[in-house]
Amino acid sequence: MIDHAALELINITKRFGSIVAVDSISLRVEQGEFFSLLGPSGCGKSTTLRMIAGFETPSSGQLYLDGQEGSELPPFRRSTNLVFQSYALFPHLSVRDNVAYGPKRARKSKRDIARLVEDALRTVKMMEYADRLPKALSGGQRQRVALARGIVNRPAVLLLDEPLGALDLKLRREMQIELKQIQREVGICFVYVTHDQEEALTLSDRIAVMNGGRIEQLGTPEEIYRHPRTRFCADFIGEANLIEVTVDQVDSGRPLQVVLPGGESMRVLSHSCDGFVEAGESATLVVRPQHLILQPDRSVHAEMAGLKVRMDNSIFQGSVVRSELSGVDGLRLSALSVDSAQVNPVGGHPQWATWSIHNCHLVANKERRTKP
Amino acid sequence: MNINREVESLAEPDEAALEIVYSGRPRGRRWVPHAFLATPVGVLLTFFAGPLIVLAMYSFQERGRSGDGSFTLSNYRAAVEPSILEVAGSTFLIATLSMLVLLALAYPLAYIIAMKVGKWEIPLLLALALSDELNPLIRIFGWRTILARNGLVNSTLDWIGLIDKPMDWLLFTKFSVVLVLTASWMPYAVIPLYAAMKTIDPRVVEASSDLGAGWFTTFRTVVFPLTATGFVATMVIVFIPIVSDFAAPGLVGGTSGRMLASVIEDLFTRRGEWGVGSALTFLLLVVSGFVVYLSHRIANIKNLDTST
Amino acid sequence: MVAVRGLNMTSPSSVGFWTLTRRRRGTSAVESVFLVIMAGLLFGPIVLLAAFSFNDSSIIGFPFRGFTLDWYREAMDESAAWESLRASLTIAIMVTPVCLFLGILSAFGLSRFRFRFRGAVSSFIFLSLVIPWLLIGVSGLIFFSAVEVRLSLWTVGAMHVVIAFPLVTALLSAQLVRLDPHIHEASLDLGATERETLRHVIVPLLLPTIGASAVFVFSWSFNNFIVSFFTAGFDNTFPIWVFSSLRQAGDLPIVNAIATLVSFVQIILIVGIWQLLRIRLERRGHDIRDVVAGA
Repeated sequence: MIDHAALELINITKRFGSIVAVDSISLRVEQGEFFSLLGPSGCGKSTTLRMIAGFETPSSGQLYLDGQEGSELPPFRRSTNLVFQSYALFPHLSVRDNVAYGPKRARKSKRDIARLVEDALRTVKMMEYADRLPKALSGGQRQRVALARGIVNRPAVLLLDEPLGALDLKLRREMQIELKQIQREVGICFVYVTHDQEEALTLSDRIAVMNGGRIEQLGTPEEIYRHPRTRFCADFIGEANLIEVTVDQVDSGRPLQVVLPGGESMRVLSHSCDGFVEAGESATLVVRPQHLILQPDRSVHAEMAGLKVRMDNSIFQGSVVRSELSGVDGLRLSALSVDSAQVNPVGGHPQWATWSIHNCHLVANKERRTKP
Repeated sequence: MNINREVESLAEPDEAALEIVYSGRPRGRRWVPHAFLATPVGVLLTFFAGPLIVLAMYSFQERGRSGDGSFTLSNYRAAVEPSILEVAGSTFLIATLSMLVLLALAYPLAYIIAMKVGKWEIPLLLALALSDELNPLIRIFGWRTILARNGLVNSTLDWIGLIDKPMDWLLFTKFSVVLVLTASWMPYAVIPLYAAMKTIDPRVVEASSDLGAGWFTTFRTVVFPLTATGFVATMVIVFIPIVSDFAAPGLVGGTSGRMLASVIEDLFTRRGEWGVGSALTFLLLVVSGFVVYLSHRIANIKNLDTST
Repeated sequence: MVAVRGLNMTSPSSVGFWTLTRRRRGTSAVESVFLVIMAGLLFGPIVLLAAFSFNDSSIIGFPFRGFTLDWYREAMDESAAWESLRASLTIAIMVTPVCLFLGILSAFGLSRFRFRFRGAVSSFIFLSLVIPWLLIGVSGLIFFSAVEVRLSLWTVGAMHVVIAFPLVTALLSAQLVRLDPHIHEASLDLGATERETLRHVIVPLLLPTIGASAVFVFSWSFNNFIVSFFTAGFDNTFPIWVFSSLRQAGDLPIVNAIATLVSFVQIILIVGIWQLLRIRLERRGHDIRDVVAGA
């Protein structure tokens, strides 16, 4: 029935004076999708969000909300609602009146307002606090009210600006799960801004990883984790060992060959370098810590690659043991292994860190402009 | 849903007048802030700047009130004649003494209200605000009845037989002026000091005593340095009104507690020397402004290494 | 963070200095005595005047000769006093709304926009809070004669507006700055226009501060002596009447009776209004300490 996206940005750019905060980004968010903008602070994610909400006007580009062009509309005429990091609840209004604020401005009938407010408060499990003032609520409860206030208007897109940022870790985990449930329940498209990659991975249907005002990669959490397009994505999403390698052979139709720091050659099965590397150039191999296997000797196996390393430190972390390793040319690696009562010796003999060639990914070192 | 409000909102012509800053950058039209500020600034230009300019002109004009308007410095010469300078001396003496007594009392009071009284904090604060909002002339009247020759102090002491002739130094002396000025300007000193103390994070104080400092050391090394800026600001706030106070010296000062404001009043209302009066008023402003500026400078230099 | 949020951030004094230096909470005996002395300094004269306004003696002092209401009875016939009181009240009642209007305008203009000369304009507005009232009074006297306006209660009112409205500007600007800017954005985001935001969010949040400003401005105008003294011409305001009565040292017990009545009404009104404001403020999650300290 609905054939247009909930939100579509086409070549949106925002300049503040000479600074380019958002650099020609394009993305399309579908109806009912949980979409995250993920990136370090200053990457342009908040500016993007504020442009969608209408608090900033794009310098160029188009913005479609529910199929309608809206880059020039003021915030109060947009079908978006924003959940602020500071919640921004109206301190003089009760929980009920805070949530009713939007429907009242839309001149809904008294009965409709009461029903909508009740629905929203039930959704966030805050019905019993309806008559309290915001100052009488805890941080988590305020968070829920802010959420109820956002969804009560049934916006085309609900924008959330690091909404869990002010909560402690435990409450945050709980709220993540609940947020996801609420989103499924109400079916509204959520656009979620965060710098917490774990949170983004947990919650999102799709993630746009932003850096320096651009989108580095756009995809499902699994895609981004398994097949990062850039070094930045590999480093920012999850933990990664980044190993500098030299490309040996680029031959269409045959797997890439790279040379590892130890001089060993290796076949690359998974990469995102098409057209970006030439033979003789350097590239970065991404190996996740849990894929590194420590062995006393180099076992020769065609499917395994390896580096000679020395154990610097071994840290017991409960379910896993983390090993800090150093290799040639100051290369530092870390490996995670399932706790197995076997303590790796620190210092002493050199060891081998090996990994399966199925469990690694190659990214180009050259900067690339991404057109999703 | 929000979009169907568009037509209605566009019909509001003064929407731009209420356009507010988003994220610290101006949006909306250039004239908007001026629409807000034109009337208040106009009122001030007319009834504040205008009179000050006229006052300045008078101070430089021949024979003041009915003068022919030619430029002269004779008003300033007349304003620094010995008899006036003598009053000026006692004015600054009284003002400085009052300010010192005031700060000596206001600082601990602000400290007690801010840090120690617990649930009495708000009532005490409101009592201060109340005392500021009562009529100062009535308060001075009260002081006069207390300090007068046949007033409460003397009549009480006489009644219980401690003295057999009234103490004359209580009223119409520098003492009475300092006392009344101190009492009159108390709220103006306590409230800014209180505000300064309230910005101290109690945990800083906690940290200090945790590190083994006694209460006096904590006060000297933590509380006072953190309120030093507020202390100086308070000096500025109270010195200027004290030095130009008129009601207190006029009613409890007599001749020995005379201050410049009384001289100025005399020049304007009885002797009709508007030119000299204007010159003296201006000098008072300039000199007290300079004193304030100096104390500010000194305090700033001292604060360089202690303030946050 | 403390500096930004101001007083709201600091916890109440129960976490004070002495608890932390392992003394008992609350005030010590020395401090309590100090508080009583300060209260005596601030309110003693007025309380004593009130007590002796019932003394059957033409001298205000001991011994107490007996209770009488004669001074109040005679005060009723003191038409000059009532005339001056009426003048002061009229001026204060007229000056207060004008100051609120000018103060609200200027506070919004200064704190909601960034424009060229903003610093200069704000310094100019607040300058009148620093310039001594003596100077303002004297310059008003010369100014009105230079522009040939006869001194009257009108000229007093105009000067009162000048000295009092910047106070409103200061109080309101401080409150506007303290408001979370996101609250304003949240309202727009939820579909309220600027005008609706002003009406449903900003004004309700500012109302207690506006009320407090009104109390301050009214008191300033009603109590002002020095500016009125120079700009009233042959008219009398209540403080001027008290001043000249004291100078002439006439029927002081009658002056005392009137002064006591005035103080009594002032105390009742001010305490009542502050109490009301305090309740309103607390309901809105604000702290009255911010408003008082802002003054």
